[in-house]
Amino acid sequence: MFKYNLKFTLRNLLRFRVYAIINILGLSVGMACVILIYLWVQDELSFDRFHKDTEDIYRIVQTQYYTGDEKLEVDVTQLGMAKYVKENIPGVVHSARYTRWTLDFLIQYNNKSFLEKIHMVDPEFLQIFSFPLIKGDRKNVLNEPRSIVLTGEMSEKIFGKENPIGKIVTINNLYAFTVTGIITKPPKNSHLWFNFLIPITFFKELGRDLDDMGNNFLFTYVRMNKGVDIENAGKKLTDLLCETQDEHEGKCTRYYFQPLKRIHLYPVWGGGPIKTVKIFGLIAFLILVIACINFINLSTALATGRFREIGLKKVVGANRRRLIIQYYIEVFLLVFISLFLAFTLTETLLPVFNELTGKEISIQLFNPEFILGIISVTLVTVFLAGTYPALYISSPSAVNVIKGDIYFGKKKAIFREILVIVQFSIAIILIINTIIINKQLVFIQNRELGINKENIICMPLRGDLKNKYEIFKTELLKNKNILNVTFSDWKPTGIYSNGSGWDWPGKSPDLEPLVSHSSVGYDYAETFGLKINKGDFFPKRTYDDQSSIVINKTFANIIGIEELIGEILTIGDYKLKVVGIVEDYNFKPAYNKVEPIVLFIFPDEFKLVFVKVISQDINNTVKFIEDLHKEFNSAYPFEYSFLDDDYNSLYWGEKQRRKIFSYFAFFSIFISCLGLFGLSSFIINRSTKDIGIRKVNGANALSILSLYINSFSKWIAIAIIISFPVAYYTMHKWLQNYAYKTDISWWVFALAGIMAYAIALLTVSLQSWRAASRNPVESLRYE
Amino acid sequence: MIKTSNLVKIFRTEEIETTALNKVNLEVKKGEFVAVMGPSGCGKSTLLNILGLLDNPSKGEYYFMDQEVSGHKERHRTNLRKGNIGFVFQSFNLIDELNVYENVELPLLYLKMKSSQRKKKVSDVLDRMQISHRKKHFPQQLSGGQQQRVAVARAVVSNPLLILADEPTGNLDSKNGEEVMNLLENLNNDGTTIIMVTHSPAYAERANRIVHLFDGYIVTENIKQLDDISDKEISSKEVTVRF
Repeated sequence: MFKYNLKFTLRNLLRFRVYAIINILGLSVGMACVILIYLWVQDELSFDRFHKDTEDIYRIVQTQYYTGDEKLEVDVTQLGMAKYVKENIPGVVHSARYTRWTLDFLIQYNNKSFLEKIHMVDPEFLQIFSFPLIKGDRKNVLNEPRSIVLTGEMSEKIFGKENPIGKIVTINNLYAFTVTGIITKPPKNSHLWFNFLIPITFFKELGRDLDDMGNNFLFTYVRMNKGVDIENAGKKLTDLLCETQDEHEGKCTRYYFQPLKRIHLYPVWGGGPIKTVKIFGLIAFLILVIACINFINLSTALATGRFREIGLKKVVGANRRRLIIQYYIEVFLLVFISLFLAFTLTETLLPVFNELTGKEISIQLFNPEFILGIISVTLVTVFLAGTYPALYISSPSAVNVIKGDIYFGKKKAIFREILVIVQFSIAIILIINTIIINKQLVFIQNRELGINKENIICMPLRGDLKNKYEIFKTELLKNKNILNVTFSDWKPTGIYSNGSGWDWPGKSPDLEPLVSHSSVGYDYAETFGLKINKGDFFPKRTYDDQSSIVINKTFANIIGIEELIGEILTIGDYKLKVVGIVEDYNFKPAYNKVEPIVLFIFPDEFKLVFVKVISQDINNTVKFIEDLHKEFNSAYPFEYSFLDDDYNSLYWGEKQRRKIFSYFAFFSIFISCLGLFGLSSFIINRSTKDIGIRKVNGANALSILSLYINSFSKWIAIAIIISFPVAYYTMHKWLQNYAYKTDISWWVFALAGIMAYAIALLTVSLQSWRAASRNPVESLRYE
Repeated sequence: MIKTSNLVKIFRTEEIETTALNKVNLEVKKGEFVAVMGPSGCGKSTLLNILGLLDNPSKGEYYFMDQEVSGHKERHRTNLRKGNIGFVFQSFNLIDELNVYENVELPLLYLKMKSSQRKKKVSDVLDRMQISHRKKHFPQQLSGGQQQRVAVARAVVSNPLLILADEPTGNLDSKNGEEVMNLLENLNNDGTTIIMVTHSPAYAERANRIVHLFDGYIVTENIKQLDDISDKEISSKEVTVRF
């Protein structure tokens, strides 16, 4: 019976090949989109799952409370947390720290120098995480204070084909480390990344107290015993630390254990890839729905030509159940062919997709999860696309077919129209969303930040340059192309250090704002074009002016003192005089409103040099800077970037998401048009006699054309009316994620509506015109 | 084999009610060849559809192989029809996507017969209908007469007890029509019961009996033609036919 169905299906496909191609093409494109999104989602969901007993691994995170309802979710902890939690929380088997920031270190071996990023970890790091060791014993490879573990890639880079074990490298010209192990480079689906690992005891050599429970700046991980009540463990940790820490408004900082599997998808501060996973998942489903609607519409339209066959089969003994099964088999075969094409399309699009998403996704045909996913997609498609046509096609009774008495009914035609309307509604919503997402991105990127970032070169301040920064600046300013030179610990568009504990005269004890801070040069304001609101920007113009601070208007408003210039603010043991107030400016990506900030001059904290240049002759200016850098800091390679490029790269993720969204919106419109093409083609072909009669009775080609265009226009108009409020609502909700939002302008909707209408019109007009221009005699003869 | 008792069939639309069959009493014995005649719209096809278990009567009883089936649902009717009743239609009603062999094989597929058995039966019947040489051809490649031979082959391949033929020669020229009638006669001689609707008196004469229908009534049978019936006989609601 299956062989019979297969033969029958293939012959049927050949007979109606144009519609078969339209169906297969629509389904293939739809399924290719679904497969791509599925691969992406699978990759996102696979983060960190390759470790042994992943469910027992946690990261310690915290919720800090400030004034009013203000709270801050923080994923870093103190230097002493790993030891503290192991000693005080039952159930902790291993605990380990991991420095998340990535400073560059100079690694030297045999007269060769490499500037590389090094992470510091506890030895138990390799007991918690399963990164495979190529050489060395994970239990003791990081036990010695001056041991270093590197990836295979780095080993080849530094040592070539030599065995690196036992070899000694020098770090920053000062510290000798012995290679004790080679480790596999973390895969892309790991939130942890490293090329080099050294013991965290190195911090002691740098003068830090390893048991310090003050500043939060690194990650702490634990491996728990099975069955530990993790909620209680978090509560116990909170209660213990509450005894020794300050409260804010009666609330202690809440500590809790974040499961490893959630770290990538659910960043503690909200948002995160999980949102994109859900959105993309929804898009995949919608695109599949559009493709299935095509299939349903075309199949039910073609079904009218199959009623005779169905009726006959019933006459000779087929019951409805059998016919429905036969039809499902046909659908399954069609979907299978489409799946094959979808795979081919996916393989072709994967390189572009990987570039867009920054991933290295590939089709893993033997991955059980992937196979299960594909089977599910296939079955869902067969069910969605096949159920209604199966019921519809098997519905007419044998006797009605024999009598030739098939009444298709207005209801069935209306159902098809509803499906087309749903398709176009989804496509229009996607178009509107794409336009607004683009608009928001452009708005954010071009928004007045309150600082000038054009023509500013940014370089790391390290090595010998750290002690000679003033002389370096003097030499730089000798070049007439260089306008300003200043220093800081952060780029002005991304300042992430903050804290509380600021005090001032008349401060309410309940008021405990979280204030950002940055160490800057005295010429920071003129370099970046910050506007002075009151006072001056470090008027002493010296790097020794370490008792003065400049604050922004937001902080000034919080403090609430009328004449703030000259007032003393205290933090810890420091008493600092306010010498200036600057207008607010965005020192973080523009998702959030401007926060309070304090700027001070602490040269020891300087990590970056900023050189403002004129826009002409930039190449020569860069060459000049490079040559000077070589003179001052020959041990380190010259690395630089332009601040505006750095700023734009902050939005790389947004840009990629925007592109992906645009492509999927395009695919959805394409599939919708394919369906409209097929359906209109079928309807027009069936009306050949009708057209012939109208022409014989005086209708011209234009009036025939308008007859069809009017009927399709009605569908698009309804789709537009339905889609507008839905699109408005979704975009309004999405824009709530941004402190600064673009408008949801009326012209976006008009543009989307016009685009959808124009595309649909083009699709339908071609065939309508062909049918309308035909000689009426041919139409009647055809019939 | 077949017996109907006061069979009524009424078709209802929103505005109109049509009585297609009006208290029809008919009995057909095993092995009979019955022709049904009457003007267009008199209810011939309706009667055939009910006898073929394609439709249910509105009122009355229908005994098929001693089983009362008038109220059966479609599922039961399909099960009864399978293998027991074969159909031949005026417009052949072959499936265009299937070749001759596959069209004839179709009823056997629904009887869940084994492949080897099906092959034998189909080959036998194609030989009988003298159409084996065209078994790989599709209906569009055959003449009208050949298509009807295939339709007859399909109707008989499962050795049904009853064949219902609705104007089987209607779309054929006299030569082909004659061929089809010969086939039906031979089948009847072999013991198959046949009920045939026809407009042709000449073809009707080849049956054992002729039943005349008029406005949903059986008005006469066998030797009497419609024209000979008096107005008085037509006006009576129940005209029982003599055998």
